[in-house]
Amino acid sequence: MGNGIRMSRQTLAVLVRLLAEPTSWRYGYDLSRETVLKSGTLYPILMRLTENSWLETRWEEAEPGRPPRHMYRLTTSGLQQARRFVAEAKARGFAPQLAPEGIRA
Amino acid sequence: MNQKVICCASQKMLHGLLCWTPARFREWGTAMAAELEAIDHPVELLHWSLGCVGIILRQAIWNICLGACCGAWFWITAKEEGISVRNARMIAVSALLIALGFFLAPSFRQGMSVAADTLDYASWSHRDNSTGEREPERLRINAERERDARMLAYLAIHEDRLDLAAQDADHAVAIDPRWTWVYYVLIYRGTKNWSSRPNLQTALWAKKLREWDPQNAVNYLVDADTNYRITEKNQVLDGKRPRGRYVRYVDQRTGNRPWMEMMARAFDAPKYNSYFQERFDLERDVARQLGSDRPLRLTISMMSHPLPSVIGCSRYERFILSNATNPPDLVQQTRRVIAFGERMMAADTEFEQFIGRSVALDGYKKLQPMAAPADQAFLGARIVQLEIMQHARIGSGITLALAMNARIVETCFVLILLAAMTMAASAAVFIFRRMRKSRAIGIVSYAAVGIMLLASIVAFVAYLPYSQLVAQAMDSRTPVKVGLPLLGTLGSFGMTFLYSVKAHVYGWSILLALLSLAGLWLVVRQFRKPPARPAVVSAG
Repeated sequence: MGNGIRMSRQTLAVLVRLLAEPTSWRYGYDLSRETVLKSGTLYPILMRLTENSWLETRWEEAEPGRPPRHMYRLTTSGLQQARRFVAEAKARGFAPQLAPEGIRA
Repeated sequence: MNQKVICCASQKMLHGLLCWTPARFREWGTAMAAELEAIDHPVELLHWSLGCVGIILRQAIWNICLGACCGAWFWITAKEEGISVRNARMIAVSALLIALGFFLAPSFRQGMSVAADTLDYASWSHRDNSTGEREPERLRINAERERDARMLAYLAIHEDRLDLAAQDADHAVAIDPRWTWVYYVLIYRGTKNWSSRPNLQTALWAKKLREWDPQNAVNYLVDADTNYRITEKNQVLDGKRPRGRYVRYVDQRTGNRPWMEMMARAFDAPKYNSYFQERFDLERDVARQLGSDRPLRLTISMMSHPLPSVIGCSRYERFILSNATNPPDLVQQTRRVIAFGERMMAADTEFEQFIGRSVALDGYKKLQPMAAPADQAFLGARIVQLEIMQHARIGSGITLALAMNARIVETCFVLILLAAMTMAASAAVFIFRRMRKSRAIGIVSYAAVGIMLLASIVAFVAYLPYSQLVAQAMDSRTPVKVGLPLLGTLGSFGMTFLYSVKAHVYGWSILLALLSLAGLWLVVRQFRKPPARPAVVSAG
């Protein structure tokens, strides 16, 4: 358990994807495809991570005719904690189920 | 085209649902909906939408259950959460409608009736009016007009006044002699709680029973017992003998010639039937006919069905075994005892089976040393088998397993009652204050609605196992041997602390109402607006 966040396989998979490019902002749908998680699983995880200040969010600038999309990135403290938990999980033999690199957006 | 339609429909659905979500979650809902634009594949689009709908519904249910439970929370935090008072009211009304909607479910109504019957001390007092029918007179008139022997038999069993009960039984038997077994119930009612002379009609009823079903051991057992009790009671009332102790009473019983003759006929009768199946069928059929769904009352009614005197059986069995004059006579007597015990073991109740095993065991143990060597092994095996059965736990493990559910249903029933009375009290105060709105009344009402909804959901779920068992028991194909233990699981109902006070349900209702009013008054007092300050007149 990390600061009230249940470290499930799905949560670790999301953290692994976010750690892969920690400085860039990610879309929910892209994370869903990369982690092979459905929206019903992914968003509760994103909500919990945000509530615990592991994630920061922002709205992208809207393009004409398209609604603005929500984006996510690890905060500084979230980055440190995520690295620690992922390292611990990998030491225990955790291998997140991820989509092949080719399908990444 | 498809994608556009699905995308459009999904977005509309999500945006429609978002109106019902609290403001703090609305941002996330909008974020999920915005992703729809980025999805190309229609199937993925649909999956994504359904996932989002699932999350929103989960949040909505959570908010209705928890938020409505703390309805006041909606009221207080309406501004911070961005929820208008109108929305809070809509949620409260929805929660109230959902809570009331549970009463449409038969199993929920049944659970509430069981909990109410638990609190109602009268239903535990073995009063025989088991259906709670308020108009037995109307039923009686209809049954006599339609020559409905079954209803008359039912009324005979449940009528408090013995003279009326006897009249109903006579009518029922005149129409259809198959209901003669009803006299069996009346005999026991006629011989208990004697305040003066015993009812001499009991001897007549016992005679009718014997003539109707001469093969049944129970009819002789009841006759033996009744006759002896009448004789003894008359002796006591006449002052010919003092009220003896139990041992003296039993010793005198075995010395009574008519009693011994009836017991001998009972032990030689080819069958044993204490009319449990007939009573169970009657109770179920009439409950179905009257549309009554009060399984606890039916269970209590069945539990009050009389049993023949087991002490008499045991005493007679020991008497004949110990008074056999020679070995052949002893063998003959043991065979009689074993045969009677085996017949009793096939009875419908566990208690009769237990007594039957006990009687048969005594017979087998006496017979074994006298039996041929080839039979001794068989008798030994039968003795071991019966002893194991005798030491097995009587009663159903289901009753214990479901005890917690019963407590939960009872607690929820009290909470629902409390919430309903609080709402009623709030409405009364609202009207009394000439329809002036009050923040305190609003808070109390919303909290009551939330509590009622939560309690309804929990009670519904907790009572589900019972409703299944009762449904199985009430099925006309279920025999009494199976049905009675199933209904017996309702025995885990019964708030001991309430039962010990022996208060009537209306007493508790009044107490809860008073407590609700007192609580409401305290809250209203707390939130009462301070008196307006006198206007400050400017000097300038």
